[in-house]
Amino acid sequence: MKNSTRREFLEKTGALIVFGLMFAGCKTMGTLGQNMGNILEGTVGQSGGGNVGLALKSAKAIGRNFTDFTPEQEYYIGRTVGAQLLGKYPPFDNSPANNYANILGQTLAQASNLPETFGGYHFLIQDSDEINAFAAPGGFIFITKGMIRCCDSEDAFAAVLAHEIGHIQFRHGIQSIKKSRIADTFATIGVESAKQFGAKGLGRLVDLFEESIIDITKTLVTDGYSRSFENEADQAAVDIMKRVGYDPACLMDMLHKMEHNLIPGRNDFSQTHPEPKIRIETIQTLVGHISRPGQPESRINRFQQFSKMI
Amino acid sequence: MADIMSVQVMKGQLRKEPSFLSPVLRILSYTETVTVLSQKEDWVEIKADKDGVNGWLHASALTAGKIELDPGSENVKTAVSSDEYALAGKGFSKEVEKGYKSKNPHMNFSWIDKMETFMVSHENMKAFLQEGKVISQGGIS
Repeated sequence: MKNSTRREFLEKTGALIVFGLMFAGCKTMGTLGQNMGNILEGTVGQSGGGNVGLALKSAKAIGRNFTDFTPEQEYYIGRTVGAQLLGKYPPFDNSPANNYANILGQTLAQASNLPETFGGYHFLIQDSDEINAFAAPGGFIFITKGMIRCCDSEDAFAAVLAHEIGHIQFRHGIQSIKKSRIADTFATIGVESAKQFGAKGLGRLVDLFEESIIDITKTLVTDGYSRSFENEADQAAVDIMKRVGYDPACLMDMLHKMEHNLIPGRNDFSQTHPEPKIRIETIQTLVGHISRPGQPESRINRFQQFSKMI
Repeated sequence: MADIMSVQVMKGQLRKEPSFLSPVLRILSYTETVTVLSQKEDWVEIKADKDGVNGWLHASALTAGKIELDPGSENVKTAVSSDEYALAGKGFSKEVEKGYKSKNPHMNFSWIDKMETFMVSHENMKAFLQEGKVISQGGIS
């Protein structure tokens, strides 16, 4: 791993492997939450039960951020974001086509820096001529028929899927949730864990869940990610393709065709992503100048068969 | 002191070698604990506490410490302020999704459920790469 995911993992686990669990109590809390919690614990924590104890837990929760969501929680967020995305474009009910997308996509995901998510990676084609693709948290990836038509080869299609896997790897989706909402969520989880508010606590969590889904879906469908997040996903795509053995320069081929196919003003990729020509310049730097291998006939043939279904 | 870690995914794939096309020895369940033996880049060599089977898991399948399941235990009561325990089934969970569905009855999850059945075996992945003459450069061997 060469990114924040690796750093995150090493912070959470590698240090423990080396040093044992002796530092476990010192990690992961944000500074504000940690200090507040320590101060309060030092004064009243030992004897304070009931509401005082809950206040301590809530104070600590303020320091939480998106990295504190477990893979299980990210999975449930991703399921509902996915259901929302299928409201925008319906599923393409074609088993052979979806099987091909999954065998290619799941193979690529294995070579990413986050091969294991709570429920695994799953891919679904959406029945729309608009050019779009989405990565819902936890590994639910959607690609429209319009996007697939921007791909002239299996390698180019692999580039699209690998870019979306990159968004999952970097956990970009859950970073769209407002920070205040994440703090509220962990405060509520703390209260819920202490079994004080029962149904009321659950109701509040459902509200926060619903609001979090709106935050993410709005980013995916309307606002788009930042340029730096898109660059990270392109970098991940290039890395994944190189590792598996696909031609990373096909990401640029796909973008050239996308530039030709995009219809300005549509609420699709043109609204949520940097212009293809800008991405091509960046990707060229990532890929470097490499000799481009020809594609074997077996690969060309199976992609042609797939394309006929789209 | 041996380091205890827990499986944080539904199906952790315990492999013979630190490689994704290495044979899967067995599937480790969510919350199952393992003892860490060594680490090689992004792979962790472990012994499964349940049956003593040794193998390699990708680091992304593991979290430090134990994952606590019992919502009534003392561990869970202190979990929000502890890094030694994570909570299974808490926070945004199946129960919360159920509550969301009640509030949003028009939402259709049937295709999300169907998507989750799209599973590709590693034998099929390997055969797919071989058929397409896709030559790995290190990620999959």
